[in-house]
Amino acid sequence: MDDERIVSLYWQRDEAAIGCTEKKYSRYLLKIAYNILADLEDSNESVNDTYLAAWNAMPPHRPKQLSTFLGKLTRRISIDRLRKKHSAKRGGSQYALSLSELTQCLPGGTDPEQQTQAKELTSSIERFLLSCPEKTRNVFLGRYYYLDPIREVARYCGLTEANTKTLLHRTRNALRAHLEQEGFL
Amino acid sequence: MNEAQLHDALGELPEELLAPVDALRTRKRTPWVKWISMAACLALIVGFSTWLLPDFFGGVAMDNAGEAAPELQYGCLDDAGMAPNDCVQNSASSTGLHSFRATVLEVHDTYLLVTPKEGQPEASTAGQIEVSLPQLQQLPDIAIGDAIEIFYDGMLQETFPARATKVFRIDVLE
Repeated sequence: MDDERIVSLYWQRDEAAIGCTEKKYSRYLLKIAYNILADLEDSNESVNDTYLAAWNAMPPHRPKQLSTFLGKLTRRISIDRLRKKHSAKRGGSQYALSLSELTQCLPGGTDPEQQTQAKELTSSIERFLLSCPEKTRNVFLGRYYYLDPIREVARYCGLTEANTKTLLHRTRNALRAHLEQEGFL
Repeated sequence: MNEAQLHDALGELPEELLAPVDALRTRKRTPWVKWISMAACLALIVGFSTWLLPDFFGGVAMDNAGEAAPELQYGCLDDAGMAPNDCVQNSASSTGLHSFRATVLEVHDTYLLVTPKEGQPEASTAGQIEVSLPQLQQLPDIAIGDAIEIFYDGMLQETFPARATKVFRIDVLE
């Protein structure tokens, strides 16, 4: 069933929408959740919570691409679950590993006086990513949005692991320079 | 600002920006993988036939008692030269197919990482098992969280995680 038809079911408040979503996207969402949580049971719970969140979000939302919309919900739910359950630095999940990598974009330590509106920060990161070549953007988002392992990002972006790591390193440096220029750091 | 705030900001990026990388991630594998799988299948058929039909192919070596020599009985002398006592035999018989049910934890190009369902002998042997893929005739479409049944020779290497190297078939369960 195509996305437009599934979204229509949500708008009609037809509960078949959830079944159709599960049939089409359960594996896709489970992978996103597992990248963050590294626990199958918790990941399944996050995916189930995603279906409820989608039911509550549509309407008023009418996403053009259901996969990325649902993926965003799963990502947020899974990160919240991880933060509640564990310290964010523990465990071998890709989320924890990527956190330590993203530290490179920030100055040493934290400055409690810097108050950044999340929305402005998102816009700034969006501008930065749009200024990057598409391959760089895909590698960065594959690693830090979808939290895929580096070897997997390398595979679907058509790069070697070494090239991917180098590209990520350079992009993190560039992002840091961009955030400093925009006054977030 | 901290790393968590950076992650949260990434989470609010517009879907239009995510669509291209999402398409890359969900793209089906290239067809040549299937050809490699078919070549592996052919090699498996030849090897399996040799194992099942010793009289015809003169395969398994027998000792004086008429039983298969220990190293072949356990079948764990791989290129790394692992001794027979490094393997766990999960059945009284070393012949025939064995199977166990498991849930997929990770999917890689050459192996799956699975956790066996409770109540099976494999579950008492190892909490996680690496299941080799190259010998399979067909590579089913498998994803994290799938319930599968693995048909193998019954031998698990006592590595960490344990390893099933001679895998003949994997069925995705409903």
